[in-house]
Amino acid sequence: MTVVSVNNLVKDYANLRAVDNISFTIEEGEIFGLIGPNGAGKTTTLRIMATILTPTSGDIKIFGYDLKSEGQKIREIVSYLPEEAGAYKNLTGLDYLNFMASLYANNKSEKDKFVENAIDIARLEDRIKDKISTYSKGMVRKLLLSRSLMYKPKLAILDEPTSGLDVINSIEIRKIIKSFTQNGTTVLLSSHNMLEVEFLSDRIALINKGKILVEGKPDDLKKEYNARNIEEVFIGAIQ
Amino acid sequence: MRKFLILFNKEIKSLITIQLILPLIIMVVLFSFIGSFVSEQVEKEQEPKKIAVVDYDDSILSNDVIESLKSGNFIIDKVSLSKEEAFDYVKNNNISTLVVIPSGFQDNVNRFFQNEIEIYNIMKGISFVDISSSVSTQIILSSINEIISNRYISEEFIGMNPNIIKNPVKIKSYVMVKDKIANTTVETITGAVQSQNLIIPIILMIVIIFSSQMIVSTIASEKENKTLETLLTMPINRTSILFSKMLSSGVVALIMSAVYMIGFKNYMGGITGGITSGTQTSSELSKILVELGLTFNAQSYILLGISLFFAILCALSLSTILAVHAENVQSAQTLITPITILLLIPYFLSFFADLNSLPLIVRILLFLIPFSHPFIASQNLIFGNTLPVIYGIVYMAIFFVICLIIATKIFSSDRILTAKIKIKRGFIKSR
Repeated sequence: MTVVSVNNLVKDYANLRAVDNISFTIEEGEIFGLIGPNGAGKTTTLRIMATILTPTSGDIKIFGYDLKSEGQKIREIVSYLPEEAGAYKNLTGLDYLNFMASLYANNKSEKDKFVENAIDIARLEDRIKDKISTYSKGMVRKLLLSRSLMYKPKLAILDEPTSGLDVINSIEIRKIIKSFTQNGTTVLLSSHNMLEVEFLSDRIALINKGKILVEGKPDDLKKEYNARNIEEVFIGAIQ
Repeated sequence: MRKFLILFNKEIKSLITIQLILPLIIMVVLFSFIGSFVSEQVEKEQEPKKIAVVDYDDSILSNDVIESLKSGNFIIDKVSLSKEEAFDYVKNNNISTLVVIPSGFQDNVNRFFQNEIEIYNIMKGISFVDISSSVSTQIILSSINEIISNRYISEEFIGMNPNIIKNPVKIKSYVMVKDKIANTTVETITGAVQSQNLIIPIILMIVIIFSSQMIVSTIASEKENKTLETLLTMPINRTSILFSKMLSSGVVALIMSAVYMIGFKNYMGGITGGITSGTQTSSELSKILVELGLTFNAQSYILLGISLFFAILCALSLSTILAVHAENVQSAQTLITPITILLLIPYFLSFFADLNSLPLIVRILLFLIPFSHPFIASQNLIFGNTLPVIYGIVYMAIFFVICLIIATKIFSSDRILTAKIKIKRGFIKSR
């Protein structure tokens, strides 16, 4: 079942067209990867879908809700992990999760359940009680990922989820994302690491200079472009 | 409402940090300490001062002079030493002043020759304490001249009171405020009103500056720490995010200002405590101010409070608009410089001028600055002029609503993430 449909999306900044008439759909429970180099328009697309930027034109429907008129409804079912997100350094990891959970939950038991989920996802053990200012970059990213998945959103939008992390932390985060779709969460993620997205995604769209070049399953695209990996597909597509 | 309170609680926690509390406590303790120290010094200043006198004349007149000094709040230590020995004596006995009456003093007076009395003040430093411990040469001179001139007059006008001859006219001064009259001078009243209300402009300035700083810090730190983007995608109304930041900043600014005021009050209490104006003591002056109706009543305090409240709201909303253009806390602090300048104009003017008697063009410009109104209000309310205060409140309310609409629009648009003002080598560039 199609749960996300993006039609002819355009986003202009002052003198720049960041997203140029793109369209794609995402099926329920799918991991959809938006791949492209820096400045391709990935973050702008994700920010629009997370309701923090308004599109210049085009239609977006997320689980039946119209993005332009039902932003508040979308915020209730979608979670967003920005690429360079930070956390409140004066709080402990646990305080941060409690604060965030209380903004999603309707009552205390629901909030406690969300925090419990987040602790399971983050796996920070006793360090969860420490101040965030003492965390490594990988720990902060795991905490933020656990925040974005703790209430089991219908759609998780993850912008460069492993950005700036070492190999071990990247693998851990990929495992968390992969396992989480088994709970029914649909994932839209972006990355400039094409090999990572190839490993994670059910379907991908290659984006460059605001336009989607190709879209499909990684294996199908590799066959179509006679390529060994998605990086070679990308080179083939821009040529 | 529940989510608003959660956000408000989080904002308060992020604003009240140890970095904020510690300097605040140090400041209060320091101000109180300085206040009590200065107060002690002021009391010491009013105690009778010890002076050493070497009388080489030892005549009836020189003894009369010494007696007159005793009645002029001096403790006299009369010594019979050479001048050099007397210098050592005052140094060793911690006496700060030595008066030397020359021989032939009485003869010179009898022959109407001008006399010379030597006064040596031992200078140990240039601080307030050092200066206040030395005896004013002018006071000693006046005491001596008084007794000699009285002697001349008594000899010439036998049976007459020398004071009446020296001051044949006495003024009884009255001050009228509206329909009330009190026996005092304009200078005394002005001085008393200014010293009693000295604290008001300082409170106004501190509260408004703190409010601005708090709101820009809370918004800019969200941007700097990359937490704003996440917060904007949470299922909360953006107006709630904005209002929680504004309210928490206002509350913390008020708390900080209150603490500062306690410290400042202790400091000022120490400095002004016990100081009298002319011949009237501070309690007499307070009574006169009440007689003339030059005091704040309950209505005045309420109006001043409302005026200050709207000035804070104006500062918060204007600072919010500026803060969303900042990339980090440091640049946000720079961006509120215009607010500080707009605040300093009425602050300094209120110290040096009656805001109502300024030229029309200056008054119009002053009226346009929203932060001027609490300052204008504090001067007007003393004289019971409530109408300009109410106009000021209405103007600030309109200014606040306009700024709030702009701030809400920015918070609900892309500009909250995309608006930036780059401050580089003195140039401000907006994008």
